[in-house]
Amino acid sequence: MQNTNKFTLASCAFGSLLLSSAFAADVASNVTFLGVASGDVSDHDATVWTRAVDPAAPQATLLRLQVTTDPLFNLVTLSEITDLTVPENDYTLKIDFSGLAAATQYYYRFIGPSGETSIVGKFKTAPAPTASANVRFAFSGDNDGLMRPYALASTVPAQNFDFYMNLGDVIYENASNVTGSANSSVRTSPSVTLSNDALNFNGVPRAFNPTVGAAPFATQAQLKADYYKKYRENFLAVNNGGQNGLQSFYAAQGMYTTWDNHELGNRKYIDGGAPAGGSVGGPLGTDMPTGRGVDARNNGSGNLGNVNDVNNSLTDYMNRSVGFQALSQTFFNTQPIANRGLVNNASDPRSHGTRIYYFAQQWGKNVLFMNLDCRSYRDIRLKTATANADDSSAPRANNPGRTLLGSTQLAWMKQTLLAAQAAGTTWKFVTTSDPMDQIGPIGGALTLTNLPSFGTGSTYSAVNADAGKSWMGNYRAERNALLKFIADNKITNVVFLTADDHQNRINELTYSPTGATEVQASYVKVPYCFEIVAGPLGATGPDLITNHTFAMAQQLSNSLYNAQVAAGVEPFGLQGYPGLGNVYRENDSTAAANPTTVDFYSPDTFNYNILSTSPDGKKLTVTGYGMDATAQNAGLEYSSGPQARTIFSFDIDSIPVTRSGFVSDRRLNKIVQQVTVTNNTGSALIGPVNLVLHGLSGNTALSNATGGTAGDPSITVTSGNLAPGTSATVSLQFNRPTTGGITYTTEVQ
Amino acid sequence: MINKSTIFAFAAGVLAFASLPQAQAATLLFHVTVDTAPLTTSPNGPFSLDFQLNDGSGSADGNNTATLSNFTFGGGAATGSPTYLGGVTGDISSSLTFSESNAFNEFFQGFTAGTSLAFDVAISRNTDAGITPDSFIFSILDSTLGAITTSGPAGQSVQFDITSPIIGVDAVQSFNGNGDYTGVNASVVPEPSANLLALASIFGVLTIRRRK
Repeated sequence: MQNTNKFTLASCAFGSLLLSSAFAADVASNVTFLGVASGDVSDHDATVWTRAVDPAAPQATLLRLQVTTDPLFNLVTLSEITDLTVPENDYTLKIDFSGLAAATQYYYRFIGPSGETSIVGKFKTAPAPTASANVRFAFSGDNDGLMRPYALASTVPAQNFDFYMNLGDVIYENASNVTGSANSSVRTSPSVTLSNDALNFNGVPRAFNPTVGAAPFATQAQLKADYYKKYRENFLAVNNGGQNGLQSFYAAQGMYTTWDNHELGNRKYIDGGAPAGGSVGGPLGTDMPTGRGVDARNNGSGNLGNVNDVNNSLTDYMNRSVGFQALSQTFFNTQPIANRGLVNNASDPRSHGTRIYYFAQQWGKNVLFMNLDCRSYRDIRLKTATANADDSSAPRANNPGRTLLGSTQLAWMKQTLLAAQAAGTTWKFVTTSDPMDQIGPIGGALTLTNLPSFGTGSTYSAVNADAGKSWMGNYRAERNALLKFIADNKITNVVFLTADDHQNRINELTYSPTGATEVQASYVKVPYCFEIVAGPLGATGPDLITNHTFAMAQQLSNSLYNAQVAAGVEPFGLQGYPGLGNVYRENDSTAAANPTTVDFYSPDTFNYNILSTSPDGKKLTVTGYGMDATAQNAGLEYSSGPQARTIFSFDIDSIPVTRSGFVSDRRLNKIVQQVTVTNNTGSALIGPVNLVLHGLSGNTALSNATGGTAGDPSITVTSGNLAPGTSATVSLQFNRPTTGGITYTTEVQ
Repeated sequence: MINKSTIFAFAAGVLAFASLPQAQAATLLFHVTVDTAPLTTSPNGPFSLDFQLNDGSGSADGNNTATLSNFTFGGGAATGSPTYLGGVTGDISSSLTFSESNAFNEFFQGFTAGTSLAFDVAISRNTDAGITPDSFIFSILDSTLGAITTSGPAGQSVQFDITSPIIGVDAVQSFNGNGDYTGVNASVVPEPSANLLALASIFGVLTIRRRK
């Protein structure tokens, strides 16, 4: 059952608007609010969420939602909507409403039957699609209860983001036993009841065996109860008077949300497009008719001929199983996600009838934000014949029949990107809950040498391969086709955002133009496209590094870089990326002049990344912001632990200027250089387009200058307009220096 | 080839790291052949050869070198005395070595064209700081000391901008003559060792450690 109704908001005096549900109100005397959240905000609508219940008398409760532009909730500006919490949805209430003004800060709160009041939440609506506006948002993922109360999250409200992207693994299903002063029933959280598959996730559905425990698999009711509990716990303090988990974080700004494997139990449910398998759940293994999963091993006994690798069934999909849908429902009911209905495409049985989690939202004229669903439709995660590892080898992992997005979503994504490029939207931010870049050799792993000390007693092991859940690891053909589509259609400034790997890295993306996905030498860069891997907000991995020195990060990044280059793999970092500038990395004084991998890499922090576009869309600033990771189950409050700071930052200019090397022209007795200006904004640069040389070294002069600005020479690149997606090249002629080299910076005017 | 190593001394506690910097791709080897037959009848001679290794950083950072060797002239010959500017040593009869001891490092020497000109070039592959790459350039100059006209923007026959040493095809540009010099075609062929290096990859045991 869905618990969202669509309302239209209208400014009115307090009490004059009551859009009540058809249900009669039950009076609850002592309602407690778990928290509030808003999300999926557009330029005119939004979704808000809360959970409210009287623990002494749990029942459906009528709540009033108040929405206003006045942080003091002045009655004159107030709008109200009333609706009921839904007991079967764990007493959550979610309201979709429209009628909002664009580019406006809103505040909201819920009121209980006896006047109980929730905390105040806020959100900003998107600017109108034609507006030139600064857009500033952040994203991260991976919120593991082991790291409660999520100290880094306490820094988010003060950032006043336009929105925050909660990019998957927003809860974890595993156990935690957090040290703290709060009641142990909150701090100690057992793992959810297993739903299927073996503990070690080895790709073989565990056969039902009634002798192994009383209830080897969770029932549908257990799934719901256990997962709702996990979602709730992320809003609770582990120390008396301490941070209420993610409560303030959720309330601070509008959210966009996607899921990954942990919302689905990290077992067979994670592959929504795989065959569902047989019955599962309960002491007889029959609580749910399907959902046990199928064999993922290379020619496993249940996967002869690897028939499960590509699912072309008309009806048999994991996303149809009761268990998957139960977990989807708990995710949907506990996150501020709008009800977008169901996929209606009968020609795609994998997707038809499933809940729509993917969407695109314009933020002003220069930013398109796209949120993908990478779990509902993907084919199975492949395992080796011995089931002891992911199988990332061809011909399984690059099988062109395999999909991660499903055909309906993939077609929508392509069309949306094409339309954005055609409409002149400069920046296209695309979330994917699993990394799109390449870490190790195709189907293999990097051999890392000269690794640093990670600290006394550390068991840290650097990620050195593309896992079976990543695009490169198990879905290479679809990945390649998608990136080729972007390159072939000259869709520029596509920035993929992801989390999941529990490290912060920036990477360019490569693909094989010929479709030779297994031939590394055929790979080239996708022009004007890169990926940001951020996180975790609070999860394991970085905590295993206790040596939080720059030297550690640098040595590790060098090890990765050298192994990647040796393997012919594009190494981490944006060195040489067109338009890259203002590179900063804490403790690296040469980052600006000579950026290296460590300037785009942080393995030992809890972090989120901040993206900010200038109002004219010409500049994107990326900031990695975080704190040294803390130990599992430590229950550390932010005030008592490491402090957050900017780890790295850089700019990308959407009008990149690229330079050739210098050439000595003996006849002219000049030093000549070709400079190319590319317009990757969505609008034409109105001619004449001039290039100004700032700070030109004093040992030379631009001999073919056509003008100047404030004493700095300039040259006309083109007298006409420079259309979007086009380039113009000009030859600079410098007087030959008698000594030293030629240096300058550029500005396009 | 790892070009250099640096020791980072870390004083805090008892930790000390021997840290290798980011090693760049191996030195690239190319065989360059130019059809110089049209020059034998050209009235625009005498001609000379011009080689450059220019520093993009402007600081003479010395992070790249180029070595030229195995010159053949197809019946022609080098003539006169060479001119050296900046960090160039050697002799065209044996080998020439370019370093970045100066921002602009250049060698030129007259030659009598034969049917072809060929040589090998080995270029290190270290990315420069800043956004102007180091560059290796080869041009043929005419009697006015201007580069003969080619399809290259500066009249060069070969240019190799030492950009990000990452993946894909190395961006060595070769330019063919035009106008009076149609038929002066340059070809740049990677030596086998360069290909092997580009294709080299390490396929180790799959030991994936990914946090779920």
